[in-house]
Amino acid sequence: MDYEWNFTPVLAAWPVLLTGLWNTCQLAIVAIAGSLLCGLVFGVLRTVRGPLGWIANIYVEVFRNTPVLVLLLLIFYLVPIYLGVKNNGFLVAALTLSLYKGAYVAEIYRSGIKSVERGQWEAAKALGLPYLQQLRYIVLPQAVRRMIPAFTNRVIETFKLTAIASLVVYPELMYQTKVIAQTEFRPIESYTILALFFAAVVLPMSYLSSSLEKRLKAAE
Amino acid sequence: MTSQATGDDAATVLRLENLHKSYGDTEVLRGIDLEIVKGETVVIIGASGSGKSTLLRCVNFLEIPTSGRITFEGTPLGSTANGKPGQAVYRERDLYPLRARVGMVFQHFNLFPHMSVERNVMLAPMRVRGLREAEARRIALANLDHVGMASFAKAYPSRLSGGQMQRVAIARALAMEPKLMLFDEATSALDPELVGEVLLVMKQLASEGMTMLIVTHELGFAYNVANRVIFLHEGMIHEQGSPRDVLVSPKQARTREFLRSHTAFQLPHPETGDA
Repeated sequence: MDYEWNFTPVLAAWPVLLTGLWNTCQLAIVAIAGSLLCGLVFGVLRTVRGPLGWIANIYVEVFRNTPVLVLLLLIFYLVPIYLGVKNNGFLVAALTLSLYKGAYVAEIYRSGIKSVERGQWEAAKALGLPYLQQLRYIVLPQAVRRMIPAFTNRVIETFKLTAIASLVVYPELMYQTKVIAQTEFRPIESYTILALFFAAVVLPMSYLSSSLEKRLKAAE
Repeated sequence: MTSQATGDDAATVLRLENLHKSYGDTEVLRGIDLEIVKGETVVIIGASGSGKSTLLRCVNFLEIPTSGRITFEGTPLGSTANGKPGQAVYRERDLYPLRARVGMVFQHFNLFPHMSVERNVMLAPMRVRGLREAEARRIALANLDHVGMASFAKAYPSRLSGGQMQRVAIARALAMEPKLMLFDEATSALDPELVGEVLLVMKQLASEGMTMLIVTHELGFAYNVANRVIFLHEGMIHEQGSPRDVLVSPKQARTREFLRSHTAFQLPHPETGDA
């Protein structure tokens, strides 16, 4: 236990970390937006009967039950072939996270939509509103309110999961830290800083999420 | 019944022919023939499980009938081209215009809790009829005023009493200028002291010439307001006629039995002392 901690060389490399943080934030924002959108589409589809509902079902089950690393590597090899884009770690990671987290978000949408009383659908229907308008003006506004606490948890998870993008050579925080750890020979200090970085971002988010949850509960 | 004689009379708002509705093996409606003319107030009574609500819900296709024919304002609904005779195929898309012209009031009001009273009423005129906001608001306020709720325009439904909520729900339906109003046990969920205000609004609508099909347990209301009372039993029209015929001197044993169970206890009349 006579390891001598020395953060100086790691902290001196702060511009590298800052680039990483900026890239992590970009990826997180795109992945969160992507997963919410993906979740909305498939969550709504899961509530309808027929082939579209089945497809949404298969999507949710496949993506929820596959390790995210497996998905990442699979998409890494699929993207150049089917989208014709090579060496784009950002695209691969954003796509993976959107699809993977989207499957969880879809479940939140589905249960949120199911939680809205049937009478609300019927009242909207009886007024002559078409299905998508029933959904948009009546059901989703009520459902989303109930879904916010669950959403914020998924958002936090997505943020943390951006670290996997380092595997496809996208220079986010994790990747940049690895670079510093290897050039400065200070892996322990480097990853300690990284852990603190994530904690510094995620802790306030968790706190906000739980206080939001309390306020929403009180408002009901 | 005069239904077949009137044929395609322009005064006929709604015609049901041999309407059936089953859930699996359970047949809830077993061949309903019914015709409602403009301005008529028809009250449906019957025991729970007799199919009253299902019948009402088939009219605006909240439930899709298993077979039979529904004609609204002279236009038959659904297409029989692909189906067997009498077994129409309904495309959801074709039903929207019908629902826009048939108002429905529910037992549990079903106001939209995330919108103000005014917005509740404005929504369909804006989204379905395509009116501008100012015009929709004008219509909303006029209809809220009609049910005595204009002063609550900015309030949210959670602040209202059941009776007030139901009056708003009526205004919401009226804002679409419906040709027919359906009331599905509109007062059943209300505290007894709130029933009157809703029934008065309904009576007012009837006197203004609105065509109404009403499912209710309020026999006194049926007696005083209806042009015709229908007794539904086991998914069929068991007896129908004027309120006096059906409610006071019913011909069928089932109807008498139903009425007896509904009037088991009565207060004496304050002046005559008659029960």
